[in-house]
Amino acid sequence: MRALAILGAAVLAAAAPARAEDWSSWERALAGWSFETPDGARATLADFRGRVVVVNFWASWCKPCKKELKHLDEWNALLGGDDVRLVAVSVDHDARRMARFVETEGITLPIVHDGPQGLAKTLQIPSLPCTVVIDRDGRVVRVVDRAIESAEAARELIDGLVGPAIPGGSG
Amino acid sequence: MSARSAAILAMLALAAATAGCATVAPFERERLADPIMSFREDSREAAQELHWMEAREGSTGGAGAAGGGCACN
Repeated sequence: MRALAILGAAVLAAAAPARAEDWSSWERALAGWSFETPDGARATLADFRGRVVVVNFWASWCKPCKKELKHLDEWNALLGGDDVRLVAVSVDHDARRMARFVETEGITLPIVHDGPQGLAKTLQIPSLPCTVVIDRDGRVVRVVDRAIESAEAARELIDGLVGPAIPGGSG
Repeated sequence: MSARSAAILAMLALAAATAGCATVAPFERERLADPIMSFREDSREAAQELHWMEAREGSTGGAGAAGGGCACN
C-alpha cells in the first residue's frame, strides 16, 4: 500500500506541468533565434532588446491563425513609435503557401518563414496559433495559447509593458 | 507454456508493438489539417455543407473539432 502511494505520488509529480512562470528555456531559445527579415537581412530577437516584442506563431493551413493574423496586422498598423515589435512566424512547410496568403490578404506586418522544425519545435509551443510577449529585458511575460480575436485584444497584450524605456536599453 | 499459448502471446505482443497512437505537435499538423484527410470522399464539399448547416442552424463548432486540427479553440 505504501509502495502504491509512493508510486502514485511519483506519477503525479511527473505529470505536473512545469511552473507556468518559468520560461527561462524559452527566453534563451528566443534570444538566440536567428531569422531573415523581410528585407533579407539576418536578425535575432536579442537585437530588439529594449523593446517589447510580440512573437506570433501561425500557419496558412490554420483557420483561426489566419483570422488572428488579420487582427494583428490591423493592430500593427496602429502601432506608433519604436516601442513594440511584432513578428509573425509562419510554421508552414512551404513558404509559397504562406506568401500566397500574405499577398492575397495584403498583410503588411513583418512575416518570417521558419517552418515546423524551427523555433516552434525548439519551444514546443503548446498550440497554434500561439503568441509570446517578451518584455524590454528579454523576459517572456505572456504566452497566449489561443487565437486573439480583435485588434483591441492584441493591444491588451502589452498593457503595462510599454512605457518609459529602461535606462541602459539598446533602444 | 504450450507452443500455442506462446504463439498467441507473441502475436499479442507484436500487435501491441506495431499499433498505437502518436502525438502530433500542433505545429506539425499541416497534412492532418488538409480537408483531404477527412474520411468522406467528397471532403471539400462536405466542409461547405457543414458551413451552410452551421450558418442555418446557428451551430458553429457543434460538429467535430474546431480549428482543423491545429489545437486551437
